[in-house]
Amino acid sequence: MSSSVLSQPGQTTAPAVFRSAFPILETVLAGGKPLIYLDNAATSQKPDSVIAALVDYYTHSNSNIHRGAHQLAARATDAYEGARKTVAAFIGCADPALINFTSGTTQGINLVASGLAKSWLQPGDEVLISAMEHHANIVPWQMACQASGAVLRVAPLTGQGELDLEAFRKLLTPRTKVVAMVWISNALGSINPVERIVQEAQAVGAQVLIDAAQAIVHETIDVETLGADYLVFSGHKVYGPTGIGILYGRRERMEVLPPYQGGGEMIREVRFEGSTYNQLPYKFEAGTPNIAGGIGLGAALNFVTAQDREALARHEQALLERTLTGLDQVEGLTLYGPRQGRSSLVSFTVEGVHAFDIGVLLDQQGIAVRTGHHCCQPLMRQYGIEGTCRASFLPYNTFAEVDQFLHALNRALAVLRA
Amino acid sequence: MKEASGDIALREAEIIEEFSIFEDPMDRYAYLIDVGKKLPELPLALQRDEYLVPGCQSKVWLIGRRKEDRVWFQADSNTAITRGIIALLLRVLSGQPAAAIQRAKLGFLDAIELRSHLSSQRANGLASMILRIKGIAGLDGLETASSDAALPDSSVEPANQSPKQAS
Ligand SMILES: Cc1ncc(COP(=O)(O)O)c(C=O)c1O
Repeated sequence: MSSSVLSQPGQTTAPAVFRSAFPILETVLAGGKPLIYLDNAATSQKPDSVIAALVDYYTHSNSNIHRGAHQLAARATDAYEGARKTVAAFIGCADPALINFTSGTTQGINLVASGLAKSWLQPGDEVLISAMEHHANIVPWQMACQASGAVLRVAPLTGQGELDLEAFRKLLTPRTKVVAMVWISNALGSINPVERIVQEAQAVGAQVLIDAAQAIVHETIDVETLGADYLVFSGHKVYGPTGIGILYGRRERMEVLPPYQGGGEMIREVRFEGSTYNQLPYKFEAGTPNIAGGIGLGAALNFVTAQDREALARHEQALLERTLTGLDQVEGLTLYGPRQGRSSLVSFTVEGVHAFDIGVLLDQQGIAVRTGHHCCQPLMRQYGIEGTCRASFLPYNTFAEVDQFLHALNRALAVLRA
Repeated sequence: MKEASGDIALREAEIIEEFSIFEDPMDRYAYLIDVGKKLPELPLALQRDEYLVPGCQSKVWLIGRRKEDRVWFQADSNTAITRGIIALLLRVLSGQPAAAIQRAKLGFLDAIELRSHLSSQRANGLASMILRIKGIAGLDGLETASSDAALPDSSVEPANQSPKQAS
């Protein structure tokens, strides 16, 4: 199937070569339909090199890291710490000690929120988030507020589904001690002006956490230019394995943030009377980590670095444009998020039709999309809907897949409206 | 097995036959949705949270009422495909002896390839619905459902439900 899909007119070879690195995209589903994977915002597929890195680790290097005196332990430690350096370079961080491995975005946010609840937030302080946050960037802050007596504030969106910057500025006051904001919304595709947000929030004395779960695969990130106090993402959304993620934090913040979990690795000295903690980044890495996952993430980022990222980004935007043009023709369709300047996903509802039904009928035609609230229940509530249907693209998707998606959507709607 | 649930088996066989003419899964779903459209709507007053079946991605309200040893059901959903599934389940099970409902294997769901085509999350929703139906059938002298107003006459004879909406 791939050769016919890939020989679409107007498509450069770069995305075709890129696509060929992902074996799962050759899947043929029950009923003989080729898989069309448009659920990339939930998780990306994995290229050969990442799969090979995992197999290679377990085949040749598996060992517990840091403490072993033997050769395998040294090999595993080098690979894991090498991955940390790869991550640091990938996001423009000069000091790998500021790169903490976590299990994912969710754990990164919980780590920071629980630490700030103990060490930074005081009763009456305010934590400012936006109305488009993922539950992972809402609930940990609610818990931090509950523990510290701080108050959660929510910056509203404009009618276009973008952050209302004016309202955001009004909510920024000297009481604002934390701003936690998503870079790219997984439910809307809206892209937030994070550099500006960071500057303005820090100007009132707030610490800023950026949720880069979606941005990591679409944007080029330089944490030093961005200047955020913390930035978090998940490996699985950037072609890496599940169960591994990154928390970057500025040194002056990470030095004083209390540890999240206690255990092995994170200590300097343990006495029954009390313990002292290890240096960064180990202070936040209690227990045997996800060694294979870290190595797999390193392989994923090396894979991305080796690509012509600009060409892939152009292809992704072209896929999005073609999809938007197709959706414009669908009667009764509401698109959420801005029409211009959005990330490569579409989130929509169709009048009189439940998103769940669309999802099932697309699935029957081999097309994987996501339906539901996308872990953004408060946002859905504001729109007065239960959920949307979301198709999200990565550069391995093709124009032919977009056309098949649009065709399948129209067919599903014809059935549902019959 | 068969002797005890003869009526259920008969109704299942009818459904399997009806669905057997479709080769394209999209046609099968179109028919299922059509079946769902004929399911009488649950009055708004009965679309209460206490009747919601947990574990479904779409909203499913399910109410049962027992008369002597038989149980009648009334149900609805906010999605078209789930309405179709509900209509089939009710057609097979509503008005049957409680013991037969509890024993029913509902093989027709596999035969018409409904279960296998639903994602596991959705299959769980279907499983929750069946669990609730069997749970209601297992209650003694139950009034889960409540008041006498709960069941309009049309649901008493599920096989002959009159279409609410023309299809
Ligand atoms: C914007 C955003 N934040 C946070 C998360 C949570 O990521 P994870 O489940 O990998 O921890 C996601 C993933 O869906 C996301 O899209």
